Amino acid sequence: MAPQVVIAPLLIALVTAILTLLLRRFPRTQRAVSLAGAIAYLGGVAWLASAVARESILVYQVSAWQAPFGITLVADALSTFMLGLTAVVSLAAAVFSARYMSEYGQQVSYHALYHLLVVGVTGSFLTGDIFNLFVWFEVMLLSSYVLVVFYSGPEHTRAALQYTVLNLIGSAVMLLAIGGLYSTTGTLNMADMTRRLADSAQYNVDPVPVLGLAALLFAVFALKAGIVPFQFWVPAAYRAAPAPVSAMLAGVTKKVGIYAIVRLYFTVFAAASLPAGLSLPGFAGDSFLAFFGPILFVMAAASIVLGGVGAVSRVDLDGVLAYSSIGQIGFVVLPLAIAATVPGVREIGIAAALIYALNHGLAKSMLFRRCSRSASSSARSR
Amino acid sequence: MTQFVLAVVLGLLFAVGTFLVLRRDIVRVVWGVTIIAQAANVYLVTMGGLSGTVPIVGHGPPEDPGAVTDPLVQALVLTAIVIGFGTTAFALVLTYRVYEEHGTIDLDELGETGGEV
Repeated sequence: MAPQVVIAPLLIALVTAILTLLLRRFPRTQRAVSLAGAIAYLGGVAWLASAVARESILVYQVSAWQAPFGITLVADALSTFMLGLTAVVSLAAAVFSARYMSEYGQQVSYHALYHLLVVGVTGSFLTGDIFNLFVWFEVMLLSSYVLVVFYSGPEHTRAALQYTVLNLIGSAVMLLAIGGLYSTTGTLNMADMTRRLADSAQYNVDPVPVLGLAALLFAVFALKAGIVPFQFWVPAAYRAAPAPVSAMLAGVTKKVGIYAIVRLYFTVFAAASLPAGLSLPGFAGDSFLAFFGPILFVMAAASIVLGGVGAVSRVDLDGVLAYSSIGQIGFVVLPLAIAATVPGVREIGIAAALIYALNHGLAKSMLFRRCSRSASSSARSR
Repeated sequence: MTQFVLAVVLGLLFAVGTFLVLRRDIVRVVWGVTIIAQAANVYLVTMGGLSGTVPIVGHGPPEDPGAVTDPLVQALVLTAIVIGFGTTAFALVLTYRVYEEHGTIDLDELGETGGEV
C-alpha cells in the first residue's frame, strides 16, 4: 500500500471545505456536498485504518524530503483510532447541523468552517513533527474561534473573546516551548526527538531544560483539553457555540489535547530520564512519566470533583453538559495518570483512557444534540 | 553582548504584553496578546544562534561553513507570523463586534451588562 493513503482524510476534508465555499450560491448542493464530504471522510479513514491494520505504521514524507528534515505524516494505531472517533462524530454533527443551522448561516460559511475544523483535527492526529502540531492546532483553533462566535449575539461575542484570547496566549506559550525544545534537542521530528532523548549523553541533550519545556507544553495541552485548572473557558464557549459545534468541541477538539498528551508524554518525553533529585517523593521511576504522572493524577481528580459539583449546581441543561464534560475529561485523564506512574499497567491504562475518550466523544455529542432539540421544542411550545 | 541585550528585550516584551493583557480595555488586551506572540517569535529566532553568518549558499566554497545561523527557526517564525497576522485580524474584528453588541469595550462594564455566563 502506498503511503500516500495517509493524506487521504486530510485531502477529503480540505476539498470538501473548498467546494462548500465555492457552492455558496447553491445551498442545496452545498449541503449535499458537505454531507457527502463527511461520508467520504469516514470512508477515507476506514481505508487508512485497513492499511494501518496491515502494516501497523504508515509514514508519508511530504515531497519525499526525508525525516528529520522534511514534513512527516505518521499514521499508527493511536492516530487511526482518534481519526475514527473524529469521522463518526463529525458525520453525526454534520447531519445534525444541516437540519439545525439556519439556511443563511449554512450558506455563508458554516460548512466550510466546519470542514476546516476537521482538517485541523485530522492534521493534528497525523503529524509526526512538533512544529506541525502547532500549525494544525492553529488551523483547528482559527475555525473554532469563528464557529464559537457564529451567532454573534451579546453572550456569544463575550464568550468567544474569552476563548480567543486564552487560546492565543496558549499558542504563544506553545511556540515558546517548541522553540526551546528545538534548541535543546536539535530536532522537531517526534521520532528523532525520542531517539535523542533516549540517548541524551551521545547527542549532548540536557534533560533539565527539556523537563521544564515539556511542563510548559503540558500546560498548553491541558488548556486545549480543558483539564482543571485550565477549565474555565469551557462552560461559556460550549454555551455560546451552536449545538453541533459544541458537540464537535466536546467530542473531538478536546480529544486533540488528550491525544497530544498521550503522543508526546508517553512516547517522546517518556524516553528521557529524569534528572536526579526531581522525582516526587513516594514515586519511583526515572522516566519523565514519573514526574508527570502525579501531576496528571491531581489535575484529573480536581477535574472530576469540579466538573461533578459544577454540573449538579447548574439549572440549565447546557451548563450541566458543559460542566459534566470537564468531569468526563478528568475520567479520561485518570487512567493516563495511573499508566504514567505504574509502568506495569501502562498499555492497558492508555487503552482505558482511549476507550473512555471514545465513549465521551460519542455520548457527549449526542447529548448536546438532544439538549438543543429539547430546547428548540420547548421554545416552540412557548 | 547581543545575547544580553536580546534577553533584556525579550523580558521587556513579555512584561509589556502581560501588562496590556491585564488591562480593562479590550483593544489593549488584543495588543498585549499580539506583543506576547511577537515576543515568542523573537525568542524563536534567537534559538537559531546569534553569532553565525547568513545561511546562504553562495558561489564557490563557503568561507567558514561551520558558523552559519540555523535557518530553520526563521522559516518557523515566518509561519508563526502569518498565523499571528490572521488571528490578530480576527481578534480586532471580534473586538468591534463586542463593541457593537455591548456598546462598550471595557471588560468591567462587559461583565456587568452581560450577567452570568
